[in-house]
This record gives sequence, structure tokens and C-alpha cells, in this order.
Amino acid sequence: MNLVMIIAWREITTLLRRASFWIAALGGPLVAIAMLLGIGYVGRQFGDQTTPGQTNAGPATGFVDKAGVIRSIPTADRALVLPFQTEDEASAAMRAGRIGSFFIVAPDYMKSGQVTRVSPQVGILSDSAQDTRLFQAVLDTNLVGDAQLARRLTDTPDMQVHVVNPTNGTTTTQPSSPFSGISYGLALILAISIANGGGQLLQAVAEEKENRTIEILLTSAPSWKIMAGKLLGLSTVVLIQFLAWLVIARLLIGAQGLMQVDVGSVPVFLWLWVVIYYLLGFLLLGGLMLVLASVGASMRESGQFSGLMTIPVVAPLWFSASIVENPSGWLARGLSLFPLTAPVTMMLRLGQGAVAPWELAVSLGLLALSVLGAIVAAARLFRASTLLTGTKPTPVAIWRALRST
Amino acid sequence: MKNILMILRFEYLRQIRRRSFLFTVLGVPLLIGMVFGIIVLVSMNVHAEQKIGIVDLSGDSTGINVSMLDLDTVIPVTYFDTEAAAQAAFEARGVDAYAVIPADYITTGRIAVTTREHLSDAGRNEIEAIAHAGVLARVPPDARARLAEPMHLTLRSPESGREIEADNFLMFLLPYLFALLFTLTTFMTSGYLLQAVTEEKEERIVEILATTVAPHELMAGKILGLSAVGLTQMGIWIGLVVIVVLSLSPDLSWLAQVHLPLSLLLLALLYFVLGYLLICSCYAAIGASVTTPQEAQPLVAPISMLALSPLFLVVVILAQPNGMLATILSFIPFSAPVTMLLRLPIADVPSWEIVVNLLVLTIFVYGAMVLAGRVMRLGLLNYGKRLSLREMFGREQRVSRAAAKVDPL
Repeated sequence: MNLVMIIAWREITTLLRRASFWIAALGGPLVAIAMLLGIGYVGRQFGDQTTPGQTNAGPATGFVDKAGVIRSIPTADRALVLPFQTEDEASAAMRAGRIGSFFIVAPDYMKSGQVTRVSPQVGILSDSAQDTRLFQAVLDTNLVGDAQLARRLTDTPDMQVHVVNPTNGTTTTQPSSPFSGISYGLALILAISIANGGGQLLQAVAEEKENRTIEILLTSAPSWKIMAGKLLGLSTVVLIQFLAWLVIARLLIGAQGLMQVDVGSVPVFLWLWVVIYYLLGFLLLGGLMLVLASVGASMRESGQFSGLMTIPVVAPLWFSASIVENPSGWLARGLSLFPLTAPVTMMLRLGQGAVAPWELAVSLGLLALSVLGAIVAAARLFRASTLLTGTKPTPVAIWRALRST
Repeated sequence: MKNILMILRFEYLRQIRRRSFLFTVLGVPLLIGMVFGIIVLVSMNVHAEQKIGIVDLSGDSTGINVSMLDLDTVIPVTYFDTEAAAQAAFEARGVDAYAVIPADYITTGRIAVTTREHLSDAGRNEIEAIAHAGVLARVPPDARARLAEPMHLTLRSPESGREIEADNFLMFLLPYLFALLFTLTTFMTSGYLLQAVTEEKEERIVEILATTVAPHELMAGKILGLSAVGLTQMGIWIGLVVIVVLSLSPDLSWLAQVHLPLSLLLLALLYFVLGYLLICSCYAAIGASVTTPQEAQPLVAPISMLALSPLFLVVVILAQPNGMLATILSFIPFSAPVTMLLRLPIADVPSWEIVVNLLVLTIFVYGAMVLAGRVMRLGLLNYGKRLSLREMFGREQRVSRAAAKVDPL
């Protein structure tokens, strides 16, 4: 046992000294922070719904009404929506900074619906920018004759969905999107972290094999202890890194104004399942990476195949839309039974609260079994392959090594 | 020149014949195709409600009720007068879900839906459409036709007068595709470059090569050869996409929606080439300064992070192409190409800004290429040792003296 600890400790210290580890550990959250800040910023600028007259203090907007449809401007909006007689007048006001943009209502507006927005900011969300929404509200209010009716026409209804359980008749409320957003975020962190950890492990073993340090190690420790030590050391570091990411994620989500998500609404069990699935997922990928490192002749060769192992771990994210939309469909069920895809798939599904206990049990059981299988296979292959350094083992040799005890 | 061409040809053929090249060229489209196939398969038999019940209580004062509107619906709809009737039908499995539009719907906008399973997107859309139709029926008749259709918004830039339809999604997708194409090609090539340079150094072939060709010729040949590999790969992928698009929709009239002036296209091409050269040269320089590919990883990470940052922030840049963030990113040479590719097709970028950041970019490209050649030469003299930053950028004499100190022979 002592040897295992020594090897684990050495793995931890080498990993912490490696620059690539720190780049992955810090780079991931940095990118996430940048993206969240960006999305939060856009969210503030282009929210879903606004109440006319209650916009943030931005520059006013103007309009030139060639169709004669705007007869009056609601009192609350008079400071923010300014009428102009001609386009030149409006352009001059925009250059002078009195307005940030203006709208031209075409003479045949009632027929064509044509409106032109003139603004130095032409972007993908211009049709839902604050000034556009404000002007559209004024325009619609004039057409409808009633502000409230006009608003109902543009805003999407606030739907509350009650799901009745057919067996016992209890009613639950369908989780709204922010909650599935969190489970998507967790699945993403899980996938990146597992894939990254697997890569680090592969590198650690393949490197030692390539510079033949491993042969010296084998003179003083049996192969399974080396494997176990490496796996233990790396999982400790990677788990700490993962937990740190989770804490950062929680802080980010909780930070005011970034996202309107109630973190308290995330049940404790979800955080618990994340850690369990993470550990098992990492051990499985780690075991498979060790197998690869043992079979491959060089770092480069093992690296080429490691992608094949990592793809299934990340793949459920590609189907996340289908899984979230239909959490108990055949795709979601199938992916949660296959050990490599199970961790990420389960994260996505658990966020929807649609997993039966038996499914959870079967998925965890299969995952645990394959972890065991991968580690045993890795230890056996490792021993056999060090005896065959430099040659690429044939399938027959691999099979023989797997069967030896 | 002859040497450069020879190295170019050698590098090109060597990479093309690799198994990993074939794997990437064919494997990636195959994988994407598979993912799409599964998504299509799943979305085909997605669960949706067979029948929906609607209870409209909002019509009490105005007398308007959605049941009288004779609406065309995707999912069959049954209208009920009271909530109790709808609930009874729901329990008897006559409807899969029912929605209650309350009396105060116009003021609150709330709708309560009861369902047995998850409410599908199709069901949600249908309920929204019915509620919308009910509101529309209360609008004065002369405005109704206008309000039933969304406003047709055109976006005009004040300086150039260029106009884009707000619903022309192709114009907004295009910059994104340009940027993605750039990123893919660049990073593919630079990945090959990094690998090729470090590999040769590791195997010490480069020292034999250096006896017959000058280091800068070697570098130039490698950069050009591997660029050709990257472009070949891109060409095959684009070809595949064109084949798929043509076979799915032979009608190409949607292409008319794209209106890009030639000058803009040329400018975009310029950014593409400069950005490509900058990143490739940097990768080559880094590859030449280290001894193993693993050592290169942490050094290239900041560059790729910076170059990719506009893609992470794409929402902000496309929403405000002349905003502060977009402007700042355009002045950083590494992030400038992607940022400008995103901004150019949709926004009026001020000319002085384009001139200044093209100038900065060009200076950096030149500097990086000189550096790559120089590092290659220095790397040869300092075998087995990683070059320090001081050695890379410092005056040459000092470096040779440092090298002499390390190896007195």
C-alpha cells in the first residue's frame, strides 16, 4: 500500500508542476467567465420583454412617420421616443447625439409593414434591441388603440405547466428553462473535466514508457501498484480541480446580474450525483487510457486513439437538445446505459427530473463494472507490454495478456 | 527558391499520405453526418400531444372566444366551456393536455396548462398561437391584417447607407461561417506545422537538412507546404458541403439574399491571409524553440486562446459589431482576423480603424516570420535545450556566446 501512496504522491506533484495542467485548469473557467459575462451583457441589452416606459436609461430613439399611423405617444415614453418631420432632421439629431437611432415608417406601411431602422449599430439582435422594442410598442399601441392589448400581442404568454403523474395523481410543475441550463452547465463541466483528466493520465504513462523510466520502476514495484498509484494520484488532483470548477460555476451563477437563476432551486441530490458520476466516469476513461498507453508503442500512437475514447464521453452534449426535449426517449435511455456516455447523459436527464430509480441503479452498476474491467485489463496489459517494448503488440498477444492472471 | 519548392512538395506529400490525415478528412464529415442523422431520427419520432383541450375564459366581457374563430391547427383541438369539463375529458384521456386562458389574460398574460407528460414544443407553440389569435380578434378590423404579420424591419447603416433585412439570417450566418472556416483552416495547418517541426527536431533530421538548405528556406518551405495541406483538407470539406447542399436543395434562389460588395470580400480575404500567416508563423517559431511537442502545448495555448476568443464572444460581437468589445478585439493582432471577419459583412467599420489594425497585423506577421526563421537557426545551435525568451528576441551575438558557453566544444 505504501508504494501505491508514494507513486500517487509523485504523480500529484509532477502534475501540479506541469504547465499544461494549469492552463487547462485555469483556462476553462476563464473562457466560461468571458462567455457568461458576454451573454449576461447581451441579456441586459436585449432582454425578452420590456414594459414600455420602464426601459433602462439609454439614449432616446426617434422616428419619421411617413404613413401617418402614429397619432400619439404614450406619456411614459415621450422622453424616449421623439418624432421628426424629415429623415434629414432625424439624421442631424443622431449626429448631435440626441438620439441613438431612428425609425422610418414607409408610406405604404399598412400594406407592406416596411420599417427602416437607421443606427450605427447594425447587429444580429437589432430586431430585439431596446430601441426597436420600444418603438414597436409605440407603433402597436397606436394601431391597436390600447397599450395593454398591444403588449399581449407581442409578448409570449407566461405558461405554467402542471404535470399530473398518471399513477398516483400528484401534480408537479414542469421545470422551467433556467434549471435545465444549470444541468447543461454541469454536464459540460463534467465532460470537459473527464476528457482533460484522461488526457493527462495518458500523457503521464506514455511518457514514462517512451523514456523507459517504467522499466526501472518495475524493478521495485509490481505493475498493478504502479497503475493504482497513478490512477489514485491523478484522480485526486482531477477531482479537486473538478470541485474547484463547480465552486466557480456556483459563484458565477450566483453572481448578481449574470443570470437570473435561483441556485437554491438545484436540489442537493443533483450535486451529489454529479460527483459520483464524475468519479466513476473519470476512473473508466482513466482505465481505458491506461490500456491505450500500454498497447501503443509511443505517445503519438496512443494519442491518436485516445480521441476515439473521448468522443463518446462528450457526444451526449451534441444530442443535448434531443435528450432535454425527450428525457425518457430511447436515445436518452440508451446513452445512459452505455458506460462511456452515461455520466454526461445522466447529468442532462437528472436536471429534467425524469430518471427512474431502477435506471439510475442499472446505469451506475454497468458503469462500476466497466471501471473494474478496464482497470484489471490495464494492469495485465501493462505488465505484458513492458516486456515487449518497442514492438507493437499483435491482437493475439493482447488477448493472451488479458487472459493471464 | 528551388529548395523551398522541394521542401514544399516533400511536406505536402508526406502529410497527405499519413493515416491520420485520411482519418481527419473522412472521419470528421462522417462523424458530423452521423450526429445529424441521429438528431433527425430522434426528432422524427419525438413525442407530441395527439389532442389538446382549450378553455377560453377571457372572452367574458368582450364576447370574443377563441372557439368561434375557426382556427387552423396542427394538433387537433377541442374547445371546452368550463375548466371542469376539460378536466373530465383529460381524466378520461380524451385530450392529452389542456390549457386554461383565464379571464384576466389580457392584463396578466398567464396561461395554465395541465399535461400528463412533458409539454412538447409543438404543443406549446400551438397554445401560444391560439392565445395570440384570441388577442388579435379584439383589435380594430382595419389594423388586424397588419398586426397579424410581423413588422418588416430593414437595418440601415447611416454612413454607407448599406441595408440588411433584419430577418435575412443568411447575412448574419455568413460572417460566422467565415470566421469558423478561418479558425478551422488555421488551426489545422498550424497543428501540422508544430508537429512537423518538433518531430524533425526530435529525430535530429533537421540538422542534416541544415547542411544543404538555409533555415529560413526550410521554414518557408514547411509553412507553404503545410498551408497547402490545410487548404486541401478545407477544399475537400467545402466540396462535400456543396455536394450535400446541392443534393438536398437544388434550388439556389436563396443565394440572392446574400449581397456582399466585392471590396468587402477582398478585405475579408486579406484578413484571412494575414491572420493565417501570423498564427502559422507563431506556431512554427514555437515548434522550433522547444524540443518535444508536449513542451509546445503551454506556449501555444495563450495564442490559440486569444485567437479563438472572438468565437467565444460571438454573440456580443454580432449584436454590437461596432461596440467597445469588438473594437478592442480588432486591435489585438491575434484576435483581429476572426473579429474582423465577423464584423465586416454586417457593420460599417470606420476606415481609419481598418487601416490601423491592418497595419498592426502586417507588422506582426512580418515580425513573426522573421522570428520563426531566426528561432529555427538558434534552435539548431542549442540542441536539447529550450530557448529562453531572451535568446529568441535578444541580439544575436549574445546568443551565440551563450550557446558557446553551454557547449565549449
